[in-house]
This record gives sequence, C-alpha cells and structure tokens, in this order.
Amino acid sequence: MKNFELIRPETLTEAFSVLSAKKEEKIFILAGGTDLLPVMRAGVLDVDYLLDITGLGFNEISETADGITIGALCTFKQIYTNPLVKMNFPDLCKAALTVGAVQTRGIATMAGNLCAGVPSLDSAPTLLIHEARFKLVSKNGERWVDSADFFVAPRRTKIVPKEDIMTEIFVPKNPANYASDFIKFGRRNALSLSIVNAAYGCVFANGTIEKPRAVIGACAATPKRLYDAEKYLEGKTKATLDYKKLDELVKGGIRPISDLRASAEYRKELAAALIRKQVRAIVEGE
Amino acid sequence: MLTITPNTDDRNYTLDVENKARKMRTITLNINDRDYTLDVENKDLLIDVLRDRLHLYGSKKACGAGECGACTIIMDGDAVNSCLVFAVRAEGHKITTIEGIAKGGQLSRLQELFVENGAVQCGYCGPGMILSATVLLDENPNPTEAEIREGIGGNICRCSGYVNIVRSITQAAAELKGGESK
Repeated sequence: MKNFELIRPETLTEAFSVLSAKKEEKIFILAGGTDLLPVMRAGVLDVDYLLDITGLGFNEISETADGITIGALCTFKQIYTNPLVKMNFPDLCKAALTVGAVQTRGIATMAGNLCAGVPSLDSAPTLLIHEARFKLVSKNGERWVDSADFFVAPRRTKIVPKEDIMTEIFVPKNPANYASDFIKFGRRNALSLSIVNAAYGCVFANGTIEKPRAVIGACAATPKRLYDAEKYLEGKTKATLDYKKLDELVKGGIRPISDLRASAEYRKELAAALIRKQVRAIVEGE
Repeated sequence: MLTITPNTDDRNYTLDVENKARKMRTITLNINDRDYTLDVENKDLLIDVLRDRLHLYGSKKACGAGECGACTIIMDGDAVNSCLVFAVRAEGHKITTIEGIAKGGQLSRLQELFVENGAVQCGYCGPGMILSATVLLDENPNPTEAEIREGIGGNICRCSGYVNIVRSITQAAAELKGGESK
C-alpha cells in the first residue's frame, strides 16, 4: 500500500479547516476503515491524505422526545447492543447484526456504511422505513437530509465529498401498534453481501394496514422505497389483500441487475417473496 | 495542543496540518499487558506490525481484506481483524493476541479443549477462532449453538473443521458456568 498522511483532528472546526486546506488533494475521511482499507490495499483508491475523524466524539446514543439520536461514530456493535435501540427499533438491531462479521461490527460505523452508499448496504432499508434523517455538517453550517433522498447512485450520496461530514443519525419513534422487520438474504449468514435485503413496517391495528413502508435493497442503483406497493397496501386487511397483486407491484418497483451473486430474474422473485413474507407475518400473525 | 480558529484564511492552517499529518510516527502499543514503543509508517497495518516488527507470529495473515478472520485480535474487548486496522490507530487501545491468552505457560481452558477435541487441523484459523470464541464467552457465557456459530461467523476454517471447534466452545461454556461438560 502506498503511504499517505494521516490527519487526526480533535474538533469539527479543525476537520473542516483541513478539508478546506486540502480540497485539491486526494483526501478521504476515515472512520471504522473496514470499507476503505481493502480498496486502498487493492490499489483501487489512490489516497494522499486520510482524515481520521474518530477523535471527534459523536459516539453516543440518546433519546429525545420524538426519537433516537445515534452518533455517526457509533459502531454497529454499539448500536445493536444499545438498550434504547433494542427497545424501539428491533429491526434496526437485526439489520446491524447482519453486517459483515463480529470482527467488522466492532469497529465499522453505521454512518460509514451509509456514506459508502453501495446498493446492497444493510443499514439503509430499516432506516428508510423509519424515515430516518441524517445530519450533515460542513464549514458552511449543518443540514438534515431525509434517508429517502440521501442515496443518489452506487457509491454516491448527498454527501459533498471533501466538504460534508455526517455527525448524526436520527430515527423518529414509531407510532402506536407499529410492527416492522428486516430480512437479509445472502449466500451465507456472515461475511456476505446481500443478494436482496428487505424492510417492511406498518401500523397494524384492528386488522387493518396503515402507513405501510416497504424498501428493497440491492435491486436498483440505490435502496428503493416501493411507493406503489405501499399505496396498494394502505387500508388492506387479511380479507382484501391480494398477494399476487402485491408481488407484481414489488417487482415493478425495482430494477435489479444480474451479477456474480444472482440474476435479475432471481432477484425480482426473491424481492417479492421477502416483502410478501414480511407483510404476511404481520397481517396473519405468522 | 493544536487550536484553530474557524473560517479565516485557509493558508494559516497549512503548517499545523502538516505537523498533524506526519508519515512516520513513534507509537506505543499495549499488547498482552506489555508496552511496545516503535516507529511506524501511517500505512502500516497492525497485522504486519504484530508479525514483522514485534515477532508475534500467532496472528495469521491470509486474505488481508477482513474476510477470513485469521488475523483476529482482541481490541478493548472486541474481536477485530488486525488487517483492517492501521497500527497508528491501535495506540491507546488494549490489545490481546493469541500469545496473551495462555497465562504463565498455562493454556486457557478453551485452548486445552481445542487440543483435546482435535479442533485444530492445519491450525491456521486456530488463533483467530480462539480469540473470537474468547470474546463470545466473555459477553455471553451461555451461548446456544446458533450463537456460537454466529460468534465465529467471521472466522473461516478451510479445513472445514467446524464441528470440533463448536464442540470445544460448547464444552468451555458448560465448564465456565459450572455445569457438566458433554
């Protein structure tokens, strides 16, 4: 691996000063490093400077009146072992537990996973169904970006490179009678990328689906909210729900590609099966 | 201590930035309760420093990309792939390698069980397996078989000797909580 200069700011102000001073250089932000190191090592990413932001703090998880705030430097392990997250968002814990392996989850950050922005990322679907927001800070100020708007293309997000640093993930609290789930489907349980991942959640009271949210990952350039399927599901009951119709709407909402992990056809069928399974689990109590 | 005032001329920071970005550093690593002070380059990975500089050959290097777990170490209580950690970032953390698991020449019970059960075939995955399992049992002294398999999910045994590995961890857990070992 080529040598590089490592800059370890102690405050955000200092980090932005460095980014300004080095904006013409090959500078990248380093948090957990589990995504960055392999590509640096393989020579895919040419790096002259690394800005190590792990000294900045942002590693607390706290409860506010309307949600849970997760510091951007929290590792996956911190997130899935945290009592607040476990109690409020068991599906988010489930998703965090499917990332990489034990060895990755102890140092990798969820925010880093989001910022890497690969289409198969396992953090995104549950955050999207909870309509989470991400706080991006730059030297010009801070802004909140909705998770639904954050992903732009493979490995491209609303983060402006060399300017923005994500500092917080905010997950709004669930309404009453809310149920949700996350499923990752990969070749093996640990150390694999998702062939398809799926998150589904809704308010389910008196046998009726309200506020359904469905997201499929790894089946388009970015994780996809399935708005048509959601519209169809709204107000449905066990008696009025047609799973064949739901399958078609799920398949219509994604545009998977064929790659070494699976074919596009397989991904479409799988995506429909996963959402159907999640909807059925809630509606039929299975 | 470096202090920077925000939003003034960027050129004022250049010197401080250069000072903070040295390509070579002197670091002190706390490994197996012993401090090692040495000069490293920023790009040096912890696994390479452990093996090539400190001659702690117990940690193995295989994939070099965080996919096999052969280089697993314990850092502040967490199992971590040392091929995914820059050595300079390991400073200030408490590191345990396989060399630190035996105490006073006495193997840990888990290590003994690995030997007794023949959980070591070619041996390459062994140190990583034992360290991941040590963390697992510290955090969850009473794991189910599924939890054991999850705990060592990041460690690949290409001899495929998982049965005896899982058996050893199961027995260690049973002994830990004072039960009968199977």
